[in-house]
Amino acid sequence: MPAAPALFEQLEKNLKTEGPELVKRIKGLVVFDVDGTQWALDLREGSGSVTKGKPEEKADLTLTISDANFAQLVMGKLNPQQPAGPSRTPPCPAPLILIKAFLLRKLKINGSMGLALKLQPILDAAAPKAKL
Amino acid sequence: MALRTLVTGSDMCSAGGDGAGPSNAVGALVNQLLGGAAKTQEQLRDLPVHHAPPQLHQVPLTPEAAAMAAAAGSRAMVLPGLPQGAVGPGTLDALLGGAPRMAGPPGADVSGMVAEFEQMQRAAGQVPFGPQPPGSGPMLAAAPPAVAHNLRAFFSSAGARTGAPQPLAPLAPGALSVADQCRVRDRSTILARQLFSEQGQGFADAQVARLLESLSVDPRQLPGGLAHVHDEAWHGIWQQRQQAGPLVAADVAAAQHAAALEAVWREQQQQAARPWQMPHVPSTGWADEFAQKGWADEFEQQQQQQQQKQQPAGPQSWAEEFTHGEGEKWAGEFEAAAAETAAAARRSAGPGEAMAATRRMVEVLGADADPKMRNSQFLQFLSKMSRGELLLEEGGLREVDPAAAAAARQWADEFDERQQQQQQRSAGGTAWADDFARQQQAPCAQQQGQRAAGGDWVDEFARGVADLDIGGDAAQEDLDAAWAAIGSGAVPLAGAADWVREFGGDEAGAVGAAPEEWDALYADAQRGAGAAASAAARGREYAFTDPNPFLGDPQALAKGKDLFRRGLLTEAALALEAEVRAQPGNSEAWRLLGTVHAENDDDQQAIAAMGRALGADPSDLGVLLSLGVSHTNELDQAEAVTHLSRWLAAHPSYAAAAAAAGPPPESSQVLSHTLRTFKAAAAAHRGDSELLIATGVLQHLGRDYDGAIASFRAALDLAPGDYSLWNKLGATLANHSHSGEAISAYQRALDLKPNYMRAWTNMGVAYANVGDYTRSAAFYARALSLNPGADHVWGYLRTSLACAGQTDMLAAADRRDLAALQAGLPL
Repeated sequence: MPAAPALFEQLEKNLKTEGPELVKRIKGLVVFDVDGTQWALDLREGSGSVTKGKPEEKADLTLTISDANFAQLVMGKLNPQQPAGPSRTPPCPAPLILIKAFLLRKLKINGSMGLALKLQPILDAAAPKAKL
Repeated sequence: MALRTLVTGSDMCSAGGDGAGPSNAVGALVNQLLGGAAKTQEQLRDLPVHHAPPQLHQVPLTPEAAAMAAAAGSRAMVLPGLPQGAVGPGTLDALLGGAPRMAGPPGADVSGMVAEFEQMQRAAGQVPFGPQPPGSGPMLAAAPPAVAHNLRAFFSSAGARTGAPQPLAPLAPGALSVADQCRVRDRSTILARQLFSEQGQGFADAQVARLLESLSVDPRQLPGGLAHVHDEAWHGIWQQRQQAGPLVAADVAAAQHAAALEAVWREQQQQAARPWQMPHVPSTGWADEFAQKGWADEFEQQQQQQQQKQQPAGPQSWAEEFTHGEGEKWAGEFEAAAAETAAAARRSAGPGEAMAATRRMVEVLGADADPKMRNSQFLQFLSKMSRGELLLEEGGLREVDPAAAAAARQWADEFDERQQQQQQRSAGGTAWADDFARQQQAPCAQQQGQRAAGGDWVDEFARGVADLDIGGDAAQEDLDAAWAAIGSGAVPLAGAADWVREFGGDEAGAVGAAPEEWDALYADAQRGAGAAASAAARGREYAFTDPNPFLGDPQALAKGKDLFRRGLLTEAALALEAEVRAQPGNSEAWRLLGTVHAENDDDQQAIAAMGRALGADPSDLGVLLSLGVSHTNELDQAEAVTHLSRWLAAHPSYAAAAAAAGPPPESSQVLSHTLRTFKAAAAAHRGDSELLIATGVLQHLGRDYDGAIASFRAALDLAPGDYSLWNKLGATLANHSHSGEAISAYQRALDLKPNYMRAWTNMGVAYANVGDYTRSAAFYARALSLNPGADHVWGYLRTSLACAGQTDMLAAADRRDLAALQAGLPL
């Protein structure tokens, strides 16, 4: 089982509380293509929604990424392959992780770059969360 | 030869490279900025003006003067007696130096060359007073202001291109060393020929002569042989490259080439600083001579030779690769992205936001320790964005690179093809799903008819499931899509599970198919369906596990309780399910089942079971509190508040307080109102850990984590043996970014209840939060050994393994090989 479904599930849960705010910030249809599986993140109105599969409408932004890189993106850990050494790079601060992933060619951005730079809250909302 | 050629590599190469691979933002940016002769000024404006200390801003930063402002910037940073700018020369050097070192994208070469070009320009304005011994490091001496002024004027006339030349202030003779004069001469010439390429070489040389005159540089007194030194170096490098054999990896070659170019440049720099070692050949009419045997010309010759030779490993091949392979793709991608950005910035008046964001990025990127990120070109791009200077022309940017478009088309075709194959492969499943969806949407009467034909349907379903390769991703995708289609259907579904039961109830009228078999098929299908299916079925009916060995066992409840006590949660759930299937009204069994699921980190099932328990006993305080907790975990705020309010109202001690508080004044204040009521009750009734827990849950829900932590700690003082309370404290700490403290709280919970699967999972989350991904994965693996059915934890496990770079374990996770995972990830 890839990592993405669990992460999108968490994101979907978070939309219930953070959705309206994310919609206000992003106002767009974002598609994640994770290893060929598409996840449509509709943040255009209401509190947004996450659906698996290609959306019918044209996405404002499509992010193509591998499952492992998506996992690292969500966890804020996307550093170049560095051997374990004394200078372990700390997790990249937001929203640099997106740029970094883009520059390291781990993330393909198709569509609005400006929108892509606003996605950090989405990644945060997809991270595993502790349960009471 | 246009400047673009110098910067981006040759534009005269034939096709080469495999075209695969991602794009290069930097290369594209350069392309964009150097799109035409008119864009040259933009490129000049790109220079790191932004690093300049404050006094620089006295220099009017007209586009024409930007080049010199940049040069002055690097110079002014080291002016003696003046405070250094925020960015020291070392930083700037590191930034610029970082670019050629950038390994990876073939475009790195381009940025390398750009960096060289920048250095060239900087050096032109950074002329020191006297010669320096080689290896003495950066030349820190400042040039007379007149040099900067004259160079600025020189370039501003380049910006005007046709305008009248600006007057150049004379500079006292002897202010510049011979080497510096050489450098000014050579670089000005090269630059001028690029800038004035439209006016012709003669014009360019005339401009340079004018400049040199103003700087009291007499070209006739200068050595003319510098060029050959460079040529030798270039020869050597290229020879080397040619002997290096075919490319192993384009990236490696590109990086090496960038390094080689850098080396050449450094050598050139050193040579320039050692005039006494150079053959001093007095010459007259240096401009002509230079034009004849200047290195710029030879450089072109070299390039042409290279082209004829078509050496695979030579720089030419690199250039080809860049131009015809990945470069264009990157370029297209980046251009499209940049166009979108610019357009978005304009249309959404978001420029403020975008600018603020980019400004922050520039700050952090500038300090980023990763050499790959210290890419001056990209930083400049961002800093331009942050200054709102990025006004890219829409028409030019809308161009979609043909290579990129082709790649996209190819991808789309591939995707379609694969989809079709999948559809063919699992036609049965899809057809069934379609049928199912249609049936659900059909009017009631039709549904009755369909149900009468239940036998056919069962056969069809069985066939569909048999055809499906449940384990295969392809089939899974189709099934998922089908489920999603069902879930998004306009018809209010009673829920798939409900429908199953309905069908099961009708089974007397239907033919064959034992309900157990059917249930098993359904469960299989559901497992395969993944997230979409669970989303569709969320918050609805309880989903039973089949087959269940406890079915029909009269001792199921007792066994379930015993198993729960012994910490065998998954087995306990089976026994309790058997009990509630036999006795659907047994609220105790439902409640315990809900508790088991909560401890097994499955809040959806917990909510479903607790819902049934509540149906049997609407005032069960434990059930109401559990529902409040599980809904909080699912982030269903309204549901959580409702159940916790009901808990307070149903509690004999607090019913009066709840009644006195009354309903919330308006719906938006439900949470705060409820919380106030709880706090008032807690103030009046000390010593009730349950009330403190409920208050803490509400506070957690309202993201008052400090308050929640205080409430849970107070509750723990009263009930230190409550393992789920330790877990609640830990989870609140973790969600409040105190994962380190959370770990010790979880440890307390696990000391009290070693098989508390939720706490093991939370441990994994906490270790992931503190960046210890291997340990995180170990805890997830342990949690999964307790409840292998927790799909989301499998996803988290993969997440942590991916972050830890544990490839072997990723493969084990794919196989769901818990033995291998636990062996490979010891705790």
